[in-house]
Amino acid sequence: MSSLLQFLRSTVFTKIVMAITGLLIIGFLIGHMLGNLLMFAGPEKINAYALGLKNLGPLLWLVRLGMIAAFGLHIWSSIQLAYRNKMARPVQYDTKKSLKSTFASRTMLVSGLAILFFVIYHLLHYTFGIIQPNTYHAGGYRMESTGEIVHHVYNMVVAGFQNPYISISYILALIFLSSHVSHATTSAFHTLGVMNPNAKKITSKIGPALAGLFLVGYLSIPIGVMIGVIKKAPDQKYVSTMTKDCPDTPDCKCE
Amino acid sequence: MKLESNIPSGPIEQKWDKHRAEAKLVNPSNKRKYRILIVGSGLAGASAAATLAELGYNVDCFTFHDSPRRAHSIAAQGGINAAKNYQNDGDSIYRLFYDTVKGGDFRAREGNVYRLAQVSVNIIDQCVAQGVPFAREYGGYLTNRSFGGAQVSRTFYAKGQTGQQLLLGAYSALSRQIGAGTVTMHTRNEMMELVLVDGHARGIVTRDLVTGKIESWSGDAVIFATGGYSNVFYLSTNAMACNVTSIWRAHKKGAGLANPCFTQIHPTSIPQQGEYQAKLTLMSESLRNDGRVWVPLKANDNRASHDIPENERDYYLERKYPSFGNLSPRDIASRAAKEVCDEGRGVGPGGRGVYLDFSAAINRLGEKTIAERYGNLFEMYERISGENPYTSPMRIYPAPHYTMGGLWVDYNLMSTIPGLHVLGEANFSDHGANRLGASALMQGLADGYFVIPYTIGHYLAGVKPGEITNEHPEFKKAVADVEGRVSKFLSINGKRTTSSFHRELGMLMWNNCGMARSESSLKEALQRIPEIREEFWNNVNVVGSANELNTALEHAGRVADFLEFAELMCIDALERDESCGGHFRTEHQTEDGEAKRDDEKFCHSSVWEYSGDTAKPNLHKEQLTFENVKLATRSYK
Amino acid sequence: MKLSLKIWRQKNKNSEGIFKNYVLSDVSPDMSFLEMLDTLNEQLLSKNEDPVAFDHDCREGICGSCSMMINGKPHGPESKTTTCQLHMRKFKDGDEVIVEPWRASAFPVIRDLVVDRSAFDRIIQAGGFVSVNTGNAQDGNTLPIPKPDADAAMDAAACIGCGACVAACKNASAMLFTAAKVSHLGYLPQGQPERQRRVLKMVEQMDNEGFGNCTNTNDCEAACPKGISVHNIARLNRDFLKAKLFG
Repeated sequence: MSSLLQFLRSTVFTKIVMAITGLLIIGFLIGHMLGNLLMFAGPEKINAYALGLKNLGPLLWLVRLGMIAAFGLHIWSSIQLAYRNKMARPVQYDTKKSLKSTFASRTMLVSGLAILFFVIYHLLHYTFGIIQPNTYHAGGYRMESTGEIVHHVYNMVVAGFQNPYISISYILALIFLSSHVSHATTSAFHTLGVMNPNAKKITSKIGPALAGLFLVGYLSIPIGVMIGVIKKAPDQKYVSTMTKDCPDTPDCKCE
Repeated sequence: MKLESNIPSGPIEQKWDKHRAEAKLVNPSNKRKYRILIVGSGLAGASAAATLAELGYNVDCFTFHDSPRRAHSIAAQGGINAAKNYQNDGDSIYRLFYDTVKGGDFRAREGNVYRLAQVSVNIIDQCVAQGVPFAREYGGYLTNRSFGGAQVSRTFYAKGQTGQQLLLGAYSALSRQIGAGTVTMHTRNEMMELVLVDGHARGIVTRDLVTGKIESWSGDAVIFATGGYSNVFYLSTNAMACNVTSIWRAHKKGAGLANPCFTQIHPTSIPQQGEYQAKLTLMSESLRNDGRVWVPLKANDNRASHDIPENERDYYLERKYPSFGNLSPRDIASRAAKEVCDEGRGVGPGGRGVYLDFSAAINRLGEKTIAERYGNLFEMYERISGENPYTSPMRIYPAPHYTMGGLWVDYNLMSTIPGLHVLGEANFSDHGANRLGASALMQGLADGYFVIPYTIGHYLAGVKPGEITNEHPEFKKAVADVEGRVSKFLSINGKRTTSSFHRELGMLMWNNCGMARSESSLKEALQRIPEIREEFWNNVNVVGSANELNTALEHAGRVADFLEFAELMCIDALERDESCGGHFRTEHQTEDGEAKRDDEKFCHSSVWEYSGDTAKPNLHKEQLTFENVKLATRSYK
Repeated sequence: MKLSLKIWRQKNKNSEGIFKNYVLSDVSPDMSFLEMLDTLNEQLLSKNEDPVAFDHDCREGICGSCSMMINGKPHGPESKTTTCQLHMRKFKDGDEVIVEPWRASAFPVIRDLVVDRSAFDRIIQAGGFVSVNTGNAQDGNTLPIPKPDADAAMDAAACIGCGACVAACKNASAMLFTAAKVSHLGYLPQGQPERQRRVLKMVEQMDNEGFGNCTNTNDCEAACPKGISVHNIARLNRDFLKAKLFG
C-alpha cells in the first residue's frame, strides 16, 4: 500500500498520468477534427453526423465523462507538476539561456492555460449556445434523407465564424493548441518510455506533424467561412427538435 | 624507530596465503564494536571503507571534497593492469611481478609486489561484478591493451576514463554502505591532525570546511588513503587540492616517511602556457601507442612542424630504445624529452615541448580509427591548446604526476605508528623508484579491497574496542594545537598570498629537485626552502575568518606543510647518491645518459624519522633483498 | 583582454546574496575560465577582500566539482565542456560575463558559487549500485556482455555528477543524472537482479530531495559536459513503469 502511495506521489507517475490523458485528448482531437471537416461536405453530412453523435445516447455520455476525466486528470497533474517545479527553483537565475529546448516546450503551462480557457469558451459557444445564442438557434434543418428536423449545426458554425472576432479567437486558440501538441505528443511518448535512437526519429516528428495537421485541419473551417468557401445554407426556419429551451428571440422564428 | 617489514617467510608464491592463514581474526559479532576512521575516499579509501563496512566494522570516512566521487583517482585515464593473461600472450602473475619490480628499478619490496600481482586478477572480477563498464570485444569478452612499457597486453580500460569508472565502482559500493548506515560519511571535512594515545593511532582532528568547526574523532584504528604529494611542485597533473598534510602530520607524530624523493614525472602532459597556469593537464600515456615522439634534428629550428622534412626529424625514443621505442617507461621517456629540450631542440613556447605525432598512424589506420581510440583526448587537447591534433602534431612535455614515496608501511600496510594504516599512493610500498603505467589504480584497489580487510583484522584482534574516546586529554590537546595553527595563519596579516608561496616553492622544487637533481641543486634548494618558509610564517596574508568557508585558510595549511615536507624531500634526494627510476642524480649516469644505480650502497628504502627539527631528520634503512628477481641494470634498449 | 565580471557573492547558506561587479584586465586568451577567476582572487586577496569561492579540483573536466552558470549557460558557452576546460579564447575583449551558482532548492548555495550537491550522493545511496560484497565475484569473463551494451553502459556511466543538467533544466529536475545511473546498470547483466528495486528507490529519493520534474525539453542533454543522452530518461521511465506494473 505504501508503495502504491509512493507510486501515486512520484513525479514519474504524475508524468505518466499527464502523458496518457494527453494522448487520450489528442485522440479526441483527431476525431473531432475529422468530424468537423464534414463542414466541407455540406449541411446534410455534418448535421447528420451531429445527429449521429447525439443518438449515441449513453455511449456519448461515456465518452464525454471520459473526456472530462481525462481533462481533469491532465489539469490535476499539471498543477502538481507546476507546483513542484516552482518549488524546485525558488531563486531564479539572473540570466538563463535555453539550449536545445523549443519555445513550445518552455511554454506548456501558458499554452495549456490558454487551451483551458478556450475549451470553456468553445463549449459555451457551440455546445451550450450561451455565447452567440442567436447563431446557436439559427434555425433547424430538415434532413434530406429522412425529413427529420435537426439542429442546424452547419449554419450555426458558419454564422459563428462569419463574426471576424470569433474567427480570430479560434485561430489564436489553435496556435496555442498546436504549440502545446507539438511538444506534448513527443514528450508523452518519451515519458511513456518510447524512445531510443531509432524510435526517436519517429517520436520526435509526431508532435510537430500533429500540430501542423491540427492547425490546417481545424483552421480550414473558420478560414473557409471567412473566404467564402463554406457558405451559409438557406434558412429553413425550422426549429431543431433538440433545442428544448428556445429563448424566443426575434431572430428565432419558431413554428 | 623499528622497521619490521613482517614479510612472511616461505616461497614468494605462498607468502600471502600463508599470511592470511596465520592472521588473527575478529569474531563476526565483535566486529561491530570496532570503529575505523578512514581519511580519503579515492580508490583506496572508498574500496577500504566499503569492504570493511561489509565485514561488519563501523566506519567513519572523511573527505575534504563535497562528495567521495570527486577524489583525484577519477582523473586516471589509461587503465588498470591485471595478470589475467586473457590475451594468451605470455602474461602471468610472475611476469607482472617481475615487470613491476624491474620497472621500479629494484627499489620495491618483492613480497608486497608479488601480492599486488596476485590480487590484481581479483580486482578485475570485483569491478566487473560492480558494473564497471570495461571495454569489450564483439564477442562480449574483456579486451586489453598494452600500456606504458609492458610487452604484454594486460591493461583493462574503460575508454579514456578508467579511473573514473573504477572510482565510481568503489563509490557505488561505498554509497551502498552509507545507505545501509554502516559507513558514516563526512564530506567537506579536512583531516588536520592525527591523535596518538600511548603511541597508538587513536583518532584524528578535522576541520569542517563549511562551518570551520574543529572536531576530534576517536577510533580503534586509523587508515590514511590520502594520495600523493606531487603538488609540492605547484604545477603538476594532480588536482588542485591534493596535498601532503596527512602524510606530514603523521610523520611529525612519529611515522617513518620513506623515499620522499621518488617522484614520477609523466612524459605526456600538455606544456605550460603561461605564468597564471594553475595546473598541468595530463594526456593519457596510451597516446604513445600510436603517436610518434620527435623533435627537430637541429637546435633552435623555428620552422612549423609540417615544414620540417622527415630526414630532419629526430624520433629520439625510437632511435635510442629500438625495442620499446615510443613506449619506453615513463622516467626514461620524460628524461629523454628534457634532454632534447636542454639541447635547444624543444618546440613550442619557451622551447619546453616535444611533438607527439599521429600522422603516420592516421595514414595507416585512418582518422576514424584514431578518433575512436583517442577522440576524447584529442578534443581535450584542442580545447586547452587551441590546436587540432589531427592536422598538426601535439606538443607534450613531462609533468609531475605521481609520487612513489610516502609513509613507510609493513606487509600489513601499517606504518611505524601502531594502528595507523596507509593505503594507495600515500604509502611507499609497491612501486619502488618508478611506477609503471596502469599500476596505480591496481595498487589503490588491491590495498583497499583485498589487503587491508585481512591485515586490519589482525591488528584489531589485539585491541580492546572503544577503549579510548575523544574525551581523552590527547584529543583536547590536538584540537587546541589545530586551533592554534588556524589562528596563527589568520593573525600574520602579511603581504603575500598563499599561492605566491606555493608557486615559489614549486618552481624551486621543479628546477632543483625535479626530473634531474644534483648535489649543488639540492643544496641550493635546502638553503632556499627554510628562507621561503620563514617568509611564509611572517608575510603570508590569509583573509577572512576561521568560522566560514575560507579557501585561503585551507590553502595556507596545505602550503605550510609542503614547505616543511619539501625540505625532507631534498634531504632524501641528496642522501640518495645514486640514480634510480624517477630519481635522477646528474652525477650518476652512464655515458649515454641512463640512470646509474648503486646497489652496493643504496639497495634500501630510506625511512626518515622526525627529530623535532625538519633540517635534521633521522635516517633508518630497510634493506631490500631480491631473491626472485635478479638485480640487473634496467635496460629498455 | 579586459572583462567586466558580474559575480554572485553570498557569505553563507543563510545570508542574502548579491551580484558584485569586477573589472579584470590582462586576461590571456589561453587562460582557462578558472584561471581567470584565480587571477581575480589573487587581486581580491591583495586588497584584503574575500576571494570568490567556487568548487573546483581536477581541472581536467572529470571530477565534476566545477559548477557555475556563465552568461546563462551551465559551464559556459562551449558545449560538452566543463568550466575548468573552458578557455578565455571563447570570450571577446570587453565582454560582460555573468557568473552565478547552480540554482535549485535541492542544491542550496553554501557560499558564493559553491552549492551543496549531496542530494546526488543520496540518490546513489538509495540504489545506484550492484549489491556485491568484495570477494564474491566470479571471473570477469564468465559473463560475456555484448559490446553494444557495454558501450551504451559506458556512455551512461560517463556522468561526472556536476549537476549541469539540474542547473539547465527549467524545472531543476535531476532526471538525467538519475537516469544515467539507472541506465548504466540497466544495460549490464550484473545490474538485472536489482533493476526494478533500483529505479523505484532512486526515483523516490530524487523526489524526496525536491528536484522538479522532467518535461522532456532536452536542455539537460545539451548542457551535459559529457553529452549524456536523454534516451536514458526514456529508459528510466520504461523501467519505472515496468517495475510498477509487473514488479
